[in-house]
Amino acid sequence: MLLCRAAAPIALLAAMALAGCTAPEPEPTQTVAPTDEPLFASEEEALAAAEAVYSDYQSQLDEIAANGGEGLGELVDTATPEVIDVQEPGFDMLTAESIVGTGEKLVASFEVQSIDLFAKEGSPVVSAYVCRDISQTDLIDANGRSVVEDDRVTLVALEVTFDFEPSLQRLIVSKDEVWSGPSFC
Amino acid sequence: MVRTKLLLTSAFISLIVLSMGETAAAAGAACGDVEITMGTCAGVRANIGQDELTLGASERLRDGSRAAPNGAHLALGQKESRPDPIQDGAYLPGCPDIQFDASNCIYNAPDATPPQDTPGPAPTVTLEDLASFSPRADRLSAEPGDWAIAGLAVNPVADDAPASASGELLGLSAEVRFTPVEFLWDHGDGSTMSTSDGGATWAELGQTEFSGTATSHVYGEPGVYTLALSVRFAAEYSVGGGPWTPVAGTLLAESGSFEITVGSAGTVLVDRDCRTGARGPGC
Repeated sequence: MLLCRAAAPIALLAAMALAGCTAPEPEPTQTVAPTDEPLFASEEEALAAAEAVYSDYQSQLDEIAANGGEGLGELVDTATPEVIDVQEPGFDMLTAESIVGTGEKLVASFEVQSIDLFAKEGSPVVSAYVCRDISQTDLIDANGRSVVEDDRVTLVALEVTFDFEPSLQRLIVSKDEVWSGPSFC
Repeated sequence: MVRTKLLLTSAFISLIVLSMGETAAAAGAACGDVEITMGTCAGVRANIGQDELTLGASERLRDGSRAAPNGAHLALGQKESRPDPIQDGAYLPGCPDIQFDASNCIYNAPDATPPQDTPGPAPTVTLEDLASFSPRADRLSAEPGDWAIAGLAVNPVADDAPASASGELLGLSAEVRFTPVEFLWDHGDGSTMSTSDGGATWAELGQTEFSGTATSHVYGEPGVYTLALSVRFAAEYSVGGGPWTPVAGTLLAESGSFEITVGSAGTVLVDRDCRTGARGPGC
């Protein structure tokens, strides 16, 4: 049987296929992700950064309370002006009433709610559910007496959001609010 | 078990509220750190012991009172049943002040600076929230392969199986299911096409190679073209094994592309089968 010349390329391809030389599988392209490089290499990294910032933020709150409400400005490194505004009246009260805080707040749990590495013009936003343990803290008046409620809730459920602050090149707390649903702590 | 139940209830309240486009029930309370520490934040008290809260009952509590919106700093009805926070009837030092309710010295934010009249951004279940659940992108293949013959059909096929992914949503274990609803084909030669399914292979269709299918395309000229597929997905999520809830909108995801080399028709097209007619042109 004669083999036509024109069919030779097809035959060659068939031979290649038989020999395992098939054309390579098409390479899928992952294109769901946006084009810009994220500020954090992974969600885990962003979450770790958020947790570290929250720890700093809580330590600063402890320090301000320990200073009788002075030093609120320190929070600019870890929180937005809106968050600081919410904190201000309480600390002003401490100052006015000569009350000082003692002890440390603890983060009993820090659970991710959502992480979007590109939420705001390419900047990440992290939201988390936080259980704050305030059992080791107290507020003491000038007479040395505690002014906290006897039956205060010591494990507080909070919803916390972190935005990326370009001037600081880090995440800062942009929302730190009591969770109004049933406590998850 | 109770804790689990509460968690789920919380999530479902949030999800239901969000799906209705409302934010009131999920809005956080803007108490300051001092109030939380002092134990006077109404929002903290309100979220304890809400296991009798029923869906649709908004923030109404078991005592019939309504939780103060936006975490207003007022004690709820149970205040009377609690011991006086300051023993011996003492007020906080210097208590009578514009910032205090002199009757019980519950700290109140001054009216001039309401904590937040507009609720903070509630957790919104949108397609963006599902970013970490992205459907896989390797859905495209084609027959005969990454090569084709000009003038003969190439048969791109897309995997149209729904994709599921597990992860966390609103802090809870959740599953997200993406169901393809539209397949958008860009053949790279200026031709585009939309189909409702991903097509099928020649073998599955019982057709001969190079024959036309619902998703096939014929390249007219030899060359190298980029064949690309985008898939539009509908998304649903399920929290804690609960019912599937659709997410508004669809997600358009590029779902694979590759270069396809189209050979000259002259290399294969003959006017008859060379095996049966040796004298045909090109044979």
